[in-house]
Amino acid sequence: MKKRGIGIGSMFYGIGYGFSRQDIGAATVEICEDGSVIVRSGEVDYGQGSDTIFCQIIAEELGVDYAEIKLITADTLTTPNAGPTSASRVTYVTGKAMMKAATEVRETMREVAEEKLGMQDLMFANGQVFSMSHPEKNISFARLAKATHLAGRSVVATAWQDITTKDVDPETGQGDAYSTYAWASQIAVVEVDTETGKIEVLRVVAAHDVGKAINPKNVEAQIEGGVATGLGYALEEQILINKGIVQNTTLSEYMVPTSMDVPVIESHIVEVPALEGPYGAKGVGEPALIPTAPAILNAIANAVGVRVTALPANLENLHRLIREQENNNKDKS
Amino acid sequence: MQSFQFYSPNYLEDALKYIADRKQTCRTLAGGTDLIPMLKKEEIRPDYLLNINEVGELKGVEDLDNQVRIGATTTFTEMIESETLNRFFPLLVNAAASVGGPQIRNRGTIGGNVITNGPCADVLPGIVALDGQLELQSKQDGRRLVSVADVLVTAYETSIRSDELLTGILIQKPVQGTKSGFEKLGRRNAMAKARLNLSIALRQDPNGTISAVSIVPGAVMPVAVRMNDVESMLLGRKPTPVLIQAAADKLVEVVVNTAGIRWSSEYKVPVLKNIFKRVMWRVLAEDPQ
Amino acid sequence: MNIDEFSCVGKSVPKVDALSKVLGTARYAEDIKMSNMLYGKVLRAGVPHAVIEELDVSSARAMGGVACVLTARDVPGINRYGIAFADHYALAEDKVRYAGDPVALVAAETEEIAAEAIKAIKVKYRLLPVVSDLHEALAEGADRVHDERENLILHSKTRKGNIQEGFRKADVIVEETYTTQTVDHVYMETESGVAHIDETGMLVIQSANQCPFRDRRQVAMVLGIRENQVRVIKAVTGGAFGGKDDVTVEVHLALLAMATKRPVRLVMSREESLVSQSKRHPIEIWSRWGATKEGKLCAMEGRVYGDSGPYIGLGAFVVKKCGIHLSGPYYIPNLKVDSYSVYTNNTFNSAMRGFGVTQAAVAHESQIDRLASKLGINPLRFRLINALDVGLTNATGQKCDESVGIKPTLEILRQVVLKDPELKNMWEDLD
Repeated sequence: MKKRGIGIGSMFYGIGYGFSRQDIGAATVEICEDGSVIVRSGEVDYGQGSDTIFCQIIAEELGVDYAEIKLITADTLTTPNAGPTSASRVTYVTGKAMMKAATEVRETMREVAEEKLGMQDLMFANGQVFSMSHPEKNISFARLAKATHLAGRSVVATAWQDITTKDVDPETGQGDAYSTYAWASQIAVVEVDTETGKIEVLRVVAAHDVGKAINPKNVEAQIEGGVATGLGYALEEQILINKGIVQNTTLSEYMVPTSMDVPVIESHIVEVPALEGPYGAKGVGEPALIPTAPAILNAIANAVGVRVTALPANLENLHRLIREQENNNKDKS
Repeated sequence: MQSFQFYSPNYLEDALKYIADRKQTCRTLAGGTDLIPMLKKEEIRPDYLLNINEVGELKGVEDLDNQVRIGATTTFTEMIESETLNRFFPLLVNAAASVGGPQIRNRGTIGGNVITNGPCADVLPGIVALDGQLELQSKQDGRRLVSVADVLVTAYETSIRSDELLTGILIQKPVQGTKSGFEKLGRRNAMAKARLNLSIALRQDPNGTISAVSIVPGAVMPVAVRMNDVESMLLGRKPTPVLIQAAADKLVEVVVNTAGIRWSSEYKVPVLKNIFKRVMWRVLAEDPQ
Repeated sequence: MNIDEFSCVGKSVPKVDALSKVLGTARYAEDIKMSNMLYGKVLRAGVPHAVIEELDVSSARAMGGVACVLTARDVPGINRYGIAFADHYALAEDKVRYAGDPVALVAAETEEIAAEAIKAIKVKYRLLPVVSDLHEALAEGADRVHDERENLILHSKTRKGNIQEGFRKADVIVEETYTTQTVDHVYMETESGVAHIDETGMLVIQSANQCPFRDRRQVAMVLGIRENQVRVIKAVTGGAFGGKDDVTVEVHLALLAMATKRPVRLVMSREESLVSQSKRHPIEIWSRWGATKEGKLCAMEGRVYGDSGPYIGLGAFVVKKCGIHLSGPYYIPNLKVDSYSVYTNNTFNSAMRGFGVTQAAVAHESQIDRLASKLGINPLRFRLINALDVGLTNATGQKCDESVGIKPTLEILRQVVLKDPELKNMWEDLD
């Protein structure tokens, strides 16, 4: 028989390393004479999208086109150390360093522009710098860049963002362990085949507080990837180890979910801004996956009344639990 | 991967001559979904590799008078798309559709499924259930037909000679009123070896009596084989819950007696029973074609 | 801030790397080809715990096409590395501590020759008892993974309020042990990299990694050279998820490139990656939760045992973070959690997406549901009742003073369920 169930999982996640581990982001912004921009940062984009986020932040702060930015990352010889890509920290920490470095360069350029235009209420937008009260008083970003170079002013700025926290008390574990936290809840709907133990995850609805979604599609992509990982964790992924020896050493034996196993995922983005984050943003990389397995486990319990306490809820484990329950019910009746 | 000589003829005659001269030192490449990984891991080290994909007469589904011929290099995708197979053998179509994923189905062939003779094969049990015959050809003996059940020696081993090439699978068209069912259970919905599969074909008299039945479970026996003892229990009788339950019990008894109790039996025995019962009832409830 | 104030932030602009990945022009480490390049390979122990009695590389060294074969004796600097604590051997010395331990390195003209040379290395092991079970590892007189240290890596504690008093207030209590399994990151790109010495004499490593600066520090230590003589560049990387946070190929590439003065490439097979590279911690979590009949959480007690495998990597932090997060996003006035990270001879377990919180959530969310069920309260509602909010303190006593979004996420899901007849039908008790 196939039985359906609904379950929910929630989580909180300390962003960054926490408990006194060094946690510093960094970025260098340089304006070329023609107004194009070079950004250097030691931060790693291994596919999660931080390079895109950084370009968006720089474009926002300088009021230039996103395509004007050349980003150089993760090279120990040419970029400042921005710490690792981990702990869902990259947007929150290095994203803020980006913002700071861009702001510093922009403020230098603003001084030059103020002298040239004789106005104080300047705005940087659409590749232009103009007075908000007298828009006819303006200069292109490119010409201002040239002027700033000619004025001998610094067109390079490096900024750091440090969110290192104090350690928690070693005896009580009490203290401000993390700079900020991400929050999330997900609902899963499953269908359990009680005769085989096979679980079909039919639907996942995810709600994530990311502070501010700098690139909403990218946030959704993170959530979708996370759900797929969480689903594999809940159901069939397992490195089998016998006396220290890994038994399943190929991907035909170690079962990651395929596109045929991953359900429809609806993502809802919640934005409760984080004070230290760029535009309020914090991280979503790890939170994306954390609620999924619990939501699935709770949905299984809702569907068939058995609680999986030893992961994964694979065919054999779930079928055994269902049979045990049937036998218990028989004993009682 | 060890280096080898690669030969890709267009004509069957050339292919047969090639393997006749080389026998065990030569392996045949059809879809390659089993062979290529074995070559890469150096589980096999052939000196010669014969590619039969360019041999035209090995490809495609033919509707002959009272039988259907499926060329050995017909891919699973081609099987799924074949009108003839959909009409006469939905069992094979469903089995083919359960193999791997689209890429595997685009490459993998019915001939390869037979020759590899893996215990987890998805299509081979269906061929056994339908009493398929293999068309084997060699330079020495020309063409001969053998029952598929007769060549499956044990897991990954057949009695097909090393100078012989499997060129096609022949299956008698079903008698009017034949129905069939297939179910596969894997750890995920694609790219999964069968934990279990089951192929059933049967026919009932107008009064409901089972007049013909063929049952082949997969991934529980060393090779795909018809469950004669179970079939004889069902033959000539009308299906009742008691009968189907007894047949299910018999089925797992035969499996355990043949394959022995393994670590997986705790799961597979009750689940095979469940799958047998539900596939049986599903087939019985179907209108005959 | 009004969203309309932004020109680029908040917009779903295309990812900067999308085109190169779709077109296949992105250059991953495996795509880097340099003239005169050698192919590296690592001999892995294959046994989980053993003393190396003999290691004979002479026939491998004598093979044609083999540029070098290196063992621990050939390490010029300190034969150790590690992010938090340097207990990880670049190459095994007197013993191996897991089946993936590197014993020797080969660089050869082709991958095939390198593989043959690996096979030609003779190692004689004296097998030691395998420390595979967490609790056996912690028992008095247990066999040690590191002779000079106990198997307990770190015990961390969380204490808040008064646990006895908290449980006295409880009308319902649930107690359970949860175990999670070892899993792999399974990035599409396995661990890989290329190293060479550039025209200025600098060692350059291009690899799939998560932090070139950490890798540089560890490489310099093992090679015994200054950090400004090492340049680590992240090549285009096909996923990492924490698995490329620790050193993967970098130290071995550095050793081979320095020994041969030639470019060397090292690309792991999937099998090698699954056996030797870091995994998610299997964690055993016992916990006891209490709530009042009104549905308020009043106490929680937990014990967390994390299997870090043979080397610490980031393991101690993973298990500590698991313990700190065992309360979930809820206000619990009284709690006591003890977390233990432990050495074993199992796989090397370190960082993976979720970093201990993935495991913690399995336990706390199951417990929350069991309490809700006992109290007859809808599980979503029960979470709303207990969710942290501004002004409340979390498990470490940290006051929630900004960006507390748990209730809004629950509220959104509540609305989704209420508006969807299929979902509402399954959760009739949700109001």
